[in-house]
Amino acid sequence: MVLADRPILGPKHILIVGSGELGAAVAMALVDQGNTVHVLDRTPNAFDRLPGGAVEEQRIIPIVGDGTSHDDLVRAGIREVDVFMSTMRNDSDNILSAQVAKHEFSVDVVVCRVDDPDLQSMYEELGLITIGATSLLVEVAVQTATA
Amino acid sequence: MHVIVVGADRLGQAVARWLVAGGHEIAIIDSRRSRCIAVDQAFGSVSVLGSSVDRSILAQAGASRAEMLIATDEDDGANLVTCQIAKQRFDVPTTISVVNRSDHVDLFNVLGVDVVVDVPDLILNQIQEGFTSHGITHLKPLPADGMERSLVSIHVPAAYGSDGLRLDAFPFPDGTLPSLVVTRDGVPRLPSGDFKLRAGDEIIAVTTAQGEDELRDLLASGPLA
Repeated sequence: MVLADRPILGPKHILIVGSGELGAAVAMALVDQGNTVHVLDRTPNAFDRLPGGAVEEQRIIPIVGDGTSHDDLVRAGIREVDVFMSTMRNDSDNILSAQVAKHEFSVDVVVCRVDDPDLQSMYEELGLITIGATSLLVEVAVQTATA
Repeated sequence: MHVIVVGADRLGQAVARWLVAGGHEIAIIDSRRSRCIAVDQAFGSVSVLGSSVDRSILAQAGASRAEMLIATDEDDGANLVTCQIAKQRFDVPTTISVVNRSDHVDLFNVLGVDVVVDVPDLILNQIQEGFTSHGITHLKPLPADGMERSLVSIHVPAAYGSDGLRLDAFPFPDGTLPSLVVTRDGVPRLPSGDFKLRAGDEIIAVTTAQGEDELRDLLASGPLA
């Protein structure tokens, strides 16, 4: 896994697109490690999933906006982030958003959620770092069955 | 040739109609059954029901022998991913996509979509042409010494044809100062008296409130003698 090979050097600025179950959980885990996380989501209600304390202390910064809009991404600080993650439910939204981050804003590390395993392998070939629920679960299932 | 159209909304259907009239073989992908039924009734059995970002659906639509894919979805993400799969997995020679947000245009180009159609920009241009049909566009007020001056753009009308008219023969109202000419090819030129104006050129000028009215009447009244 490419991510595991990267040394962690001090706190990072991270932008997460999508404040769903995955986005919120990743945000919390990263904040617990001392990073600052901006979270961008179209629907303000989605921010209810974020821990109130961390939001008050501005360790998590929620921003309402579209993860594929240049203006909204700039408002969410994409020019200053070290790591970008798109974690929405829709693969195409994530892929568009991640490619904007990678090709238009040259973010160092771009991670993209792609649940369709076929698309996931294609975008790995195209240079994105991808995470996919389906492939992860398949891996765990196969390991469990063959242990 | 075989062409895949993605999206069976009005735009997708219009594209399909044009392709069929040109004798091309088409397949239309849409994820809504009602749309698929509609296009099948209009064009024969051409629909493929499903998501265009699903490789098996593209295969069903004949992607491996398609010479072109045209993405007309309202969702830019779906359009981009569909074009990328078409190129990456099926070697479709030409991909064309509409883009519903202008800030996505560069990305689509960078990522290898062959023709990118900027829908908001096209529509905006049409609207702007409607605004400039009177031949003069108010750009900016330039208030000074109690005089109401403004910066305007004058569109040289079609009636000038290709022969052109010397700039010093253009009947500028009193107090009007032509400051820049942008030719119809987009080349900026400093105005000189012997410069030949042609239809489609744009003159940027400073004028008075009265001059602006006179120019509007002049340009609306048709060709100059």
